[in-house]
Amino acid sequence: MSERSTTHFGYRQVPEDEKARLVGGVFDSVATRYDLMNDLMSGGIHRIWKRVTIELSGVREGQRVLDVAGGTGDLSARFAQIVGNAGRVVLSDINESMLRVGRDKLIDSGAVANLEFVLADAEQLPFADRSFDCITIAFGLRNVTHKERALESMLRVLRPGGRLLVLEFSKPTSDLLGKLYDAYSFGVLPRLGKLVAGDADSYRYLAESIRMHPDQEALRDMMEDAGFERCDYHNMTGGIVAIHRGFRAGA
Amino acid sequence: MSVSTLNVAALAALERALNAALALAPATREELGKLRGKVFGIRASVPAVGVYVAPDAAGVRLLTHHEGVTTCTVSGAGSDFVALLGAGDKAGALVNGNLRIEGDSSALIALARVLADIEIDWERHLALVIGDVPAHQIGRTVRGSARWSRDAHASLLRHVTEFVHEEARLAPSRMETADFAADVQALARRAARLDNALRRIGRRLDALSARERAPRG
Repeated sequence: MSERSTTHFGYRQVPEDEKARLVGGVFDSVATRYDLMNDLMSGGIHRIWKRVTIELSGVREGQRVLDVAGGTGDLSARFAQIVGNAGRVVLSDINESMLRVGRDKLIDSGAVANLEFVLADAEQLPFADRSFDCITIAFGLRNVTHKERALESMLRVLRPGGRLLVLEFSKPTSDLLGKLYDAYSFGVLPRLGKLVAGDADSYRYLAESIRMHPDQEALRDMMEDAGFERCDYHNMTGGIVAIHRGFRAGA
Repeated sequence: MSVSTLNVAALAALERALNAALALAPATREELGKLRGKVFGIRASVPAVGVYVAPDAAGVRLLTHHEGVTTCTVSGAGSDFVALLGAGDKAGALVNGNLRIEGDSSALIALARVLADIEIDWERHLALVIGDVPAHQIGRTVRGSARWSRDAHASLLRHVTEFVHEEARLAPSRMETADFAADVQALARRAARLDNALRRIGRRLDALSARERAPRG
């Protein structure tokens, strides 16, 4: 009898083919309140983290950008302004509810001329090889079942010399901050989730999935193993989040 | 490497305020549009602060990181930048001050001029809220008050100057000062000529006394 391979879903071990459905359930549940919850949970600091990601992307007018797991479209909206009408931004997400919220938000704000919305799995991106100057994945990689496959898929669609930026929760650099952060994540966050989004479990999953995600050094190694070059990372807010950056060779 | 969240937050707030002002000043924004694609670096040594200014369609972006080509970089001590902010002629102060400029300085001067001359079209934005006619009436009243205030200020300055110079004789007039300065310069020139003449006489006397002391034979 063959044993089904498993992966983590927060602190639980689940069959690999189950994780995408379970993660989908989490985001279906929080999609409509996602932006509000992000502001409440981070005290608005997530906007600063995204701002630095955009700075480090070095995106210029006329370039093509892919925002993987782009959700409600914060990064895509800013990229669309920067690349202008000569450029192109693709907002992709595996979750239909999140993509719909993001698409409606961006259309309502008038950002339509150079934006596309694509329902796509980060592990099997439906784009031609070497078609983007920059790819970002913000708070998305830890929810992907096979992170290595997603990194390889992103490398494939990146142009030579193009860069990938991974904005993701990481490991606090100080023990004291780590303890405070744990108390906040497991004490306050689920209660806040229950109060605002009516869903404590999804926010408990959020806290658990952050702990299960590779730390700064491990993620950099994963990016190098996937084939990225000149990989580095920038810690922000004491390492609570980090921006990893890697380039496709051959500029 | 770590990124200071506070620095980025402060820059984000400044960028927001600047773009809010630019949104009310369409002429300035149009001028700024001509500099689109250029990136300006500003580096203060004490305190150590670095920022990049990138004009774009939305106004300006203030960045902590930039890895591409920088059009122009201006660097110096924090106090030099403060002096620049207080200067009436910012473009002149930029070129003639203590700040070091590397790269295309003409683009930097253009940026300084555009940002120093932000002209907010208050009447247009007021009209969107309260309507054309009341906005025009308010605009005319404000412009009239501003003109009266400007004229009154010039008139007061003229009368005070006249009183100080002519009535109370507390200070010499500009012409008297200029005459005095011209006299001082003429005196300095005559003193210099006299000094030269005295040196020549001294040299001749030395030559004569040397000739007298020389043995005759």
